[in-house]
Amino acid sequence: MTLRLRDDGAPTPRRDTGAEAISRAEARALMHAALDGEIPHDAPLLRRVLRSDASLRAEYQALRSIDQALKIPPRTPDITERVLAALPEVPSRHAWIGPAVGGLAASIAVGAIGTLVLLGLRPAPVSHGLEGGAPIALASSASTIEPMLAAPWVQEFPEQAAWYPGGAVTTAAASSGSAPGSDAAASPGGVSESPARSVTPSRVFVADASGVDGAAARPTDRGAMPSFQVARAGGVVHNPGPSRTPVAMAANDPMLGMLGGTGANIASGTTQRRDSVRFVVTGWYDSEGLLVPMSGREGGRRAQGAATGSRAIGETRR
Amino acid sequence: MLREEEAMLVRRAARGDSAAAEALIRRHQAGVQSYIYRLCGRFDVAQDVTQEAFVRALAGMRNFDPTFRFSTWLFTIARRVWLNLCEKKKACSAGDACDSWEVGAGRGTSTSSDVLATLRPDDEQRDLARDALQGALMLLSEEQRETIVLFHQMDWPIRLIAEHMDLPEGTVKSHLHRGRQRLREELVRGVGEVVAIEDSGRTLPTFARIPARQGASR
Repeated sequence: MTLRLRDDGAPTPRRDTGAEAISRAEARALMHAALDGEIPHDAPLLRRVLRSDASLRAEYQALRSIDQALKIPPRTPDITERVLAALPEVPSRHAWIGPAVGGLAASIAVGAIGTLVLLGLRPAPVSHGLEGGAPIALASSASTIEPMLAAPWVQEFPEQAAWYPGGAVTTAAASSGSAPGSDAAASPGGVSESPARSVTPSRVFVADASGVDGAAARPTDRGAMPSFQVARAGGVVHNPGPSRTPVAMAANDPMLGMLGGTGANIASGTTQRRDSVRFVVTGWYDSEGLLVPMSGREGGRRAQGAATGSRAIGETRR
Repeated sequence: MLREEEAMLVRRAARGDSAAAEALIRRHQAGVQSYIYRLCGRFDVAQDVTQEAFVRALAGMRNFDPTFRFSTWLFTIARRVWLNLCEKKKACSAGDACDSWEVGAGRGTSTSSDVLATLRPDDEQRDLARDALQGALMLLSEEQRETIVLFHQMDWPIRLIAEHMDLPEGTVKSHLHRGRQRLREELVRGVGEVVAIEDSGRTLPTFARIPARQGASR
């Protein structure tokens, strides 16, 4: 069957004395249908249309070439770092601590000490909006901690008790080098004599330490903070206790806080050395070892922080 | 990136995993930037809008419906950011952005035969095509431009474009068809210093730079 193109756009009978008549408008509609992917580019009718008219053929080829040319992406710069830098302004970025800590949590979950020593932790950014930590005594006795302890979303890591206390972790950290800002390995005595030996920490949190320059509390403060234990991520697992030189903690070091142990876990420095410590819990690890920021949807709804709405564990002053 | 893989990244990012967020940014930033750049013709605006879109997306993960693609959601946010920017700052509107392209200069002053001799190898063809297309895109209506970019550059199906732009599919097709035709016409006329040459005997258009002497005589 031959194909005859008409110059006008008026509708005509499809068949005209044996030849198929098609207007230019109809021909273009066919072309665009092919370009839209509604019919194949080699559809018989389209092929006949293009074969019969050189200008339409050129037009169609041009449109296809434009389609190809449009797939050439503009040269755009990589702005990943720029976007990441802007993210701390976002509330949900409170706990952007990074995969290393996530890995640590996973290690905790399986009790894989060997993995722990390989982890390099990077400092967590300042926890935005959580600067106002409540005093420890207040936090421990008020509604901040209790809901955390009771919260069903808190992941328990019972295996941790098997390896956490004592010098194993400290030894591992010392042998592998400490994370930036970590000086536990150099700390005399380490944690081998830590009262944490008998602890059974059951919940793992991630915390930013803000404005921290030392350990958490004196032994006498344990009663006020009976079940909070601080583990410095990166190998400094525990501060050394009242008879030891306190481990200096740099501001904003990522921390792991464990709730639910015995009352002896909030080991301390000395009264001469410590004056202000504040811990801000910003998230926890779920069963997949994934970090869940408490500032996010779940945290905001479920943390049920103190009346202030803060998720702070607290602050102590001497 | 597989959809399952992306879904996992989204879940992790929603939980504050910075590595997952970074992976999502690396995966999608070029696409969003390209999209916005094609709409506005300005790299600086495209970068700003892209950054803002990511910040909003990652901050609002709780609003993300995992039955959709993250990229679709991200593009929707980027589009909203861009439109808001246009409303706030008319200087960023497409019309003003066109200025930098010197659109229309030298139109009709040269013929295909005049510039055939200036044809260059494929790599330069890419650059010429890219520049010419962007200039020509800026001559389209906003709707035509966006449908063209989403369909041809981003490979979005018409149905999705219709949802994204809140238009009936038929209207999207209409914009697409008219936009294509106009794009071709503008390219053949010449955009800036580049002209498209059509020849029914070749796979065309071929893009060529208008010789300097002709450009100077405009």
